Amino acid sequence: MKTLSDRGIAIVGYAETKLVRRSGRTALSLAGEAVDRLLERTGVERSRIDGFATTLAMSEGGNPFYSNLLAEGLGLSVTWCQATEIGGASSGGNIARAAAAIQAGLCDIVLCLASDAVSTVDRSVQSGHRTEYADPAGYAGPLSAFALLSNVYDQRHGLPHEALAKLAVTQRQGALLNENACEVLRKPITERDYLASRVVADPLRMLDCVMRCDGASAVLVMSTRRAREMGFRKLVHPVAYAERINFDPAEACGDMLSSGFTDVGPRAFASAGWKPSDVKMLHWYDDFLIALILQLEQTGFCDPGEGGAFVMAHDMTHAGELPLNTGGGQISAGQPGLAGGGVNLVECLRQMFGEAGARQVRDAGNAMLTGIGVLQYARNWGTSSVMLLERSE
Amino acid sequence: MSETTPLPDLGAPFIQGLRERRLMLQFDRRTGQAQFYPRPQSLYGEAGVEWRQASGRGTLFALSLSRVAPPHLQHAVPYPLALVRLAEGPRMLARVQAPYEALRIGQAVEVDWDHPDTPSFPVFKPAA
Repeated sequence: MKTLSDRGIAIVGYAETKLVRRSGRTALSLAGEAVDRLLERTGVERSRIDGFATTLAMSEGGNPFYSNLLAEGLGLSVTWCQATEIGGASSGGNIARAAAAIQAGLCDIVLCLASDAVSTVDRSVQSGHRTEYADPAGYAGPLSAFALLSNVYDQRHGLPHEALAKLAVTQRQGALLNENACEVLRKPITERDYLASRVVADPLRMLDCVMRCDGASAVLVMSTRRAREMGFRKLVHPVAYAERINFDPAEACGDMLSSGFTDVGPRAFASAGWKPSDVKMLHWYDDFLIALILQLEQTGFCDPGEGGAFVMAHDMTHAGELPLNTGGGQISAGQPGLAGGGVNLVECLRQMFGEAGARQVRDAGNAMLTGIGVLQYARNWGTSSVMLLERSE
Repeated sequence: MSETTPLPDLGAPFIQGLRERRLMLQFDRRTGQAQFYPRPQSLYGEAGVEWRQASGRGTLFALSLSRVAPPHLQHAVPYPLALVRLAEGPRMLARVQAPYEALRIGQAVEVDWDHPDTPSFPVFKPAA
């Protein structure tokens, strides 16, 4: 996006629910809790909100009026309303869409929501190549895709088992300090536990993968001018955003491992005038640990095949030189279905607002947020996004 | 919740071909490049696609021993799940009927036309 670098857009607050396995609740109920908390923390009246963007919810399946009915259920009357359905990239995507809508004059104050109760009920159907050519072949969802992707990485570079184990332990340490993480995941693990964890689809281990849960997060976005008028002091500005959907359809790059991050990484950095070494912390989409390795290699932090070595050479805990997913990420806090990107987003904002308590990063002045969505047929993920954020000093 | 559509419209020649023990693929009318899965247009240009019979042969490009399965294959776990690079070019996601330990990347495979599941979707086996 061209218009973010002037810091004209501000995120003024965030809120979330605790992540819970099989809560028995609905997306609306979880959303209501997150929104109440957000309004209480920001002091913004519900009636002031005139824009609404939500992720979809697997628990709400084929509801054709999802965003409108959610707005009604939440008591919102708005002039701009949409659901963003780019999978795990939707939470960051909503911030960018809200910014565009505000700048276009469609609305003034936008609630960006992510809520899903997928571990209570999954009503989603991915009609298309998934139902017609993948499931009949024996495909079991993302586990199958990432197992095959990991096998290709293993053939080319060798899987960095030690580094994957270190990532698992690093993020688990964050979850131990995060009271909103799923309770079943708030148990210490060691590198040895990772290496010994059950293989679910060779070469993927159980501890390579996210666990689905229920949960919601909510963020308030407005122009920086409006935020100042309303008296907000702590502001976080999205300063660059890039997104790619259905990367390289004909695989012209000739490489199945290559994803849209080879496009959105450089574009976002160029737009902000940053380079990877300028980034203070990473809040990266983590449905599988190998996705973190691939992002390191494809957004310019290291060369292809060097992701494992990069991880081994850096302390990526909250106290380290390049903190990563300090609340546990989705891998160790839980993945609330299509609201999963909100887990990374809210932790990013909590750090930047300086409210992360025992796991507060020393220098949280800027951050890099990523999103991954939607798996391509017999390839990689199709949707990749990068957002760069800065704090007002 | 995913279930197979009996005869997807764009892929009807593929599904019909399986019932006749023929692997049918779409080819770009200009470049001759094959694609899978079936689409309403070519991935390689605007000249359109035509359906032709493919060899049914390929090589193993990626491999996993899957201990997870969609509902209709729960009884079959664990099974080798592969990306097969077809001789005509595109990759196809498929099961391979063979002991996992006996399979290796690059190995030649072919559609197992006698496998009971192949009329629904190709199951491959090591090439004779």
